[in-house]
Amino acid sequence: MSLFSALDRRRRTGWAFAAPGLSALAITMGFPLVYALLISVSSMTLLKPHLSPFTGFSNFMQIMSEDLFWHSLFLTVRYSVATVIGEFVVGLAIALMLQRTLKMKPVYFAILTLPMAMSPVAVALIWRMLLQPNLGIVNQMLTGMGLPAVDWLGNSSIALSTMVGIDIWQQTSFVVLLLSAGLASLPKDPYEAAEVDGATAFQQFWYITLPLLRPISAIAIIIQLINEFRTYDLIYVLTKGGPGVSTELLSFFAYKRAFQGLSLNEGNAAAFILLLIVLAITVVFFFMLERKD
Amino acid sequence: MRKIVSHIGLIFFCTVVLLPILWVFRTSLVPEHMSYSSQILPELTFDNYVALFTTKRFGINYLNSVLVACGSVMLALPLACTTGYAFARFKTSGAAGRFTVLATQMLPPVALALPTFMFYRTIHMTNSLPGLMLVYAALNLPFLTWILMGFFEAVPSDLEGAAMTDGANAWGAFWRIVLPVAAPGIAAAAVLGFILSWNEFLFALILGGPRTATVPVALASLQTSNGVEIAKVSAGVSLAILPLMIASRFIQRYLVQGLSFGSVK
Amino acid sequence: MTTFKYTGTLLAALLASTAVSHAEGITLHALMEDVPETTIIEALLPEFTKETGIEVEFEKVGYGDMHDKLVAQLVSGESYYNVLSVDFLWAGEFPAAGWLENLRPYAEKSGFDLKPFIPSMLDLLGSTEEAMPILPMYNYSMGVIYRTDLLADEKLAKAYGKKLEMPGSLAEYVELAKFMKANAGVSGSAMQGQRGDPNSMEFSNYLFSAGGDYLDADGKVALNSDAGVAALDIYVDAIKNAAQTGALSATLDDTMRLMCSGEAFSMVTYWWMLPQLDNAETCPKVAGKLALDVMPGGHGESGGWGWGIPTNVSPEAKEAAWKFITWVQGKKIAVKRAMEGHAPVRSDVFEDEGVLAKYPFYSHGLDVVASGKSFPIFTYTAQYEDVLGTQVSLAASGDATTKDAIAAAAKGLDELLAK
Repeated sequence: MSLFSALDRRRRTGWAFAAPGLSALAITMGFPLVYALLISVSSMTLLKPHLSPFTGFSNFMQIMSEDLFWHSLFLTVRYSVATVIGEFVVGLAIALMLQRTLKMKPVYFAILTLPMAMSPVAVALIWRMLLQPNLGIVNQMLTGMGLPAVDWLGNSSIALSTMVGIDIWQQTSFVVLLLSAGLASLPKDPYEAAEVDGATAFQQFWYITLPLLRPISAIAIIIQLINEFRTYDLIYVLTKGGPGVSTELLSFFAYKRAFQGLSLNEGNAAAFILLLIVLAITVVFFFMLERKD
Repeated sequence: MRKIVSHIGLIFFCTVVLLPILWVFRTSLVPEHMSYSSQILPELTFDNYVALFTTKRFGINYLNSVLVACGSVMLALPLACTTGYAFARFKTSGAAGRFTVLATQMLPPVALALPTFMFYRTIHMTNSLPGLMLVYAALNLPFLTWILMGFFEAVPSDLEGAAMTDGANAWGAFWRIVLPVAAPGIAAAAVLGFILSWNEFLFALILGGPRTATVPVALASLQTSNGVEIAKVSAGVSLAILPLMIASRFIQRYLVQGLSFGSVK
Repeated sequence: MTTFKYTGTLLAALLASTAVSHAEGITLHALMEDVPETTIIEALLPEFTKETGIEVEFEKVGYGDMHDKLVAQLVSGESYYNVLSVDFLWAGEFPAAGWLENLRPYAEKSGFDLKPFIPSMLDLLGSTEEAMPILPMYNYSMGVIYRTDLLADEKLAKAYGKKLEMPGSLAEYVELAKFMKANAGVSGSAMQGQRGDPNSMEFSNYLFSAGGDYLDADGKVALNSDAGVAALDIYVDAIKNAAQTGALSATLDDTMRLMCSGEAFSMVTYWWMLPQLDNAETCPKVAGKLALDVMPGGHGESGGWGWGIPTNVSPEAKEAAWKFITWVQGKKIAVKRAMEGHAPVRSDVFEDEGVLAKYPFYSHGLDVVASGKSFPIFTYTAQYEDVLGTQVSLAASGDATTKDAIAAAAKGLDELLAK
């Protein structure tokens, strides 16, 4: 009996702590979210801004019947996976190297986290300037070295890769931050034991560091995946989805449908499909993490 | 030997990060019509900075950004602390609850912009700094809750147990024991929240008016159909990086030590 | 129950206080594109406030951000912006959504004379006998700006074999541009091929000049014609063989910089860009060596901005907005603006002696504006720009044939018109 009441009290205490935050979230984010969801199953356009009549899933059907939607979806998955892998690999390498330095660490760290402070709009404008095909400094340096100028954003087969590169340039700083924190809190004992057993540096990394870093890596990857799936500002400034449809990511597709096509309902339907995909991926990650923990 | 390889690697990555930023800084010091020249410094001028503050009201934009970013963190942080603590220590609402909180961040901003606008419109919070603070607080809350949850998980629960046997209630234990221990982490989270608000663009654009325009909105408006005023953009970006450069030492000290993400035991 | 009453009173008091503050003096709020035209008007605003006591406040943002911000206000209960600057590309959508007042009754009531306004500008912004949702503000018609020094170059003339001059047809213009790229060490044409607004505007010039059009006289889709395919063939040829590297991601900004740095022979652009390029301070390499002409083939794309009054604002604000619009578009202020570089929409301003004395090329400007044709203006114009832009971009990057691209673009137009 007393065990039950103690448990009950713990639960109540927990809810008391969580209540202010959760109710604030419910009001400020809940309302817009529910409203956005209602729009996606309604007949609401910018020309007829009323929710009724509700049309069920016809907006979703309409969106999914379009080739361009599937193209964007495929492109978004490719883009997000490529950027997150790139950010993670480079970020992990940097975090590991940072751990081995002492005196210079603050300097390196300060420099490597700088891109985090730039808004994506600014980053895109800057790279647009650097990569300007005729006058930009990057191509001027290439031609100066006798190499051919590269059409970074105007060639439909490399524009997406260019954007992946720019995104990695900026977002890796955040991954470095998280992984550095993770590395700093690793326990010392397993390494000492490994030294005694004569394990090589690579073995230590593979059998000790990587498994111990798994939880924080998962958090970093989840946060970045959510972030990358919603990439919009970069496309908006750099390519507007072109050349052709080679950089038309799903959030840009949704944006165009809502504001240029005036079909808020279909735009929101596309956005919610994106949400479902991110959700599914995150759930998988999340439970892999919980299960092994 | 490994150390040398590390230094070489880090110097390489630092160069990759720094060169573009230095070029931006250089462009901010060059007259607009020479911004694309390949010379390192064809002419030195502070006109771009001066113009930002005189003809573009960048001072107001900057102040707005600072106010909104600080305000939103101050609003969101206490709530994120208690919620994160409840999630970490009492497993309140379980995995599903944690998940729902994170899921509020998964919708592209484009889909949320108009509903949010209409909501804030009805409570008369558009075109105002407090309104923007509130939105950013709402955007920050799930993110900060998640980060802080990790910090609180790292605080050994024996500490509170000891306090509780001494007669403190749960709130007292949280306030007097847990918060001070987690302070570095909380400070680190505050910096992350600041950065998130500092860089946000779409909501600032849709919800803001001329008097509430933030730095990203001001920078975007330099992209006109007469051309991008890239030298002024560069000046603006250089100034926008400043707060982080100041905070960088601070982030290192607290964030790297504080962000231990409890599950790593 | 009492608490309900209490909050009710409080709310009423709050509402009343805001109502009072509204009535005290009207401030007009306008969302404006951050371009010289806006700055020119802004400098004159104190005069208006002195005359009428009405304050005017401009919020300046980039073009790409304007539409969404305006729409958010226009679909809501009361718009914060009580006088609107409207791009001609929205001149179908905004009235169709019922967001704009009909300005004809305002003009009749206040006796504002519409005759001096260039008819093609009124048409462009959706004016009919009965309704005038938008009053023209300034035009942005397109012509060709080119380098006279390269045309006068004897070596080049010898190599060309024919007389070196700006030709009268589109095909010859592209031939000349290709020749310049091959022989003069410059790009033949600085092209803005980025998908969307840039390339659909640019392609429109090619389409009109090749004798094609989007719609026929009955409003039926006429894009999928021999002339349409020919125009796209020439456009793709120009992108591949006459334009700069990276033309498919270039915007107006890139083309202006290229032209300014002396690395291009010509560009198809807004006619009033000439003084910005022909400027010894900002573009020393090309100043004094530039000229403006009508698009070879005779018809360029014509566009413009106008003023509108939103329906969801108070009657007092509407009156004040109309006062402002008639002031800023009246001859006196229009001439003042023209002296600072405004692109007029009134023929009496184009013909004003002071203006012509300062800017002799304005006589060419009138030709460009008068000969211009318009992009199809309907509810989904903005979306159509993207549909067309995508197809043009696909053809130019070699991912689609010109025939397929034109057919797809025509089909897209048909579908959007029927929507």
